[in-house]
Amino acid sequence: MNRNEFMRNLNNSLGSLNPKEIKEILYDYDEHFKAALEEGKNEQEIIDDLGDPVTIARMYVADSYIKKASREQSGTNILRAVFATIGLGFFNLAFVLGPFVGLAAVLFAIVTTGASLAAAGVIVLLKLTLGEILPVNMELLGSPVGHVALSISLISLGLIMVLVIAATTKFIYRLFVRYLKWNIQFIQGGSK
Amino acid sequence: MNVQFKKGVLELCVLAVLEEKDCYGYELVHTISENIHISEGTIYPLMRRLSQEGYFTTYLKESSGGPPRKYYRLTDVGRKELDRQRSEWLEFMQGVRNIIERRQPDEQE
Repeated sequence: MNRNEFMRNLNNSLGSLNPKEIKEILYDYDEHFKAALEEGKNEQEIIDDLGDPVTIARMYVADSYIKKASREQSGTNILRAVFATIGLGFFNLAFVLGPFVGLAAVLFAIVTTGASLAAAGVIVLLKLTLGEILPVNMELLGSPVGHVALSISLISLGLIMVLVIAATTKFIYRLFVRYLKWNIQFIQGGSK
Repeated sequence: MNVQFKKGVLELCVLAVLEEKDCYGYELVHTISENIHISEGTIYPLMRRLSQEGYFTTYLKESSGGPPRKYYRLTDVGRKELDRQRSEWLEFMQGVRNIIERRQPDEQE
């Protein structure tokens, strides 16, 4: 690889960043080459010391996506940040993807359970009001009061679960972004 | 040398080098790579991130017979962060030394 190839690989792998950022990043490396050449190093030495341009580009991309996810909370942003971080190395696959999927699964499970409970509560109420029309066997409940009590319990419990998750999602999102930043700090790849 | 030792402490090293004096990119990278065996290319993304966190400011300065160079200067926020990381690291180092030299904590007095 020569200097032009290095810079080209770096440039191409930075693709998703905005042009201003890319220009600033490439400028740093141009300066590096200039200074190193002045000191008498040859191109090959310089490139060997710098390391793989694609790996380097991934670090910039991960930093950029994490910053974006931090500024603007959205599903897309956090997903991009997670995958960019994982792209930095295998260590991140275990420590980032694992927790991320686990966390998302738990949140999803609580929300769907909550929604189901609330729906069940609504069905019980409907059973009470619509009588024999619905094919739901609720013999055990006996009196209408029992129906209403069960219904309210189910709906309340269900709603509480959904609302708690809705309220804490923003907070959990922020915590996860910080976790990604911590990962980057300690896992930033590319040592000899 | 174990890769995990190096990565966590790279930020501390970058901040510490700039405490002494303002440096331009290559100078900083060179100072660090002289002392620790790392891929020099990984330092620039780190410096960019630390700049964005407000730990440095950058400015251009004329260099002898050439285009102006970009210099990095530590900010007050950067200094605070350096102190924080440095004391964490020194504490950690002492703890590790205690263990590997099999000393008790109170013996170091």
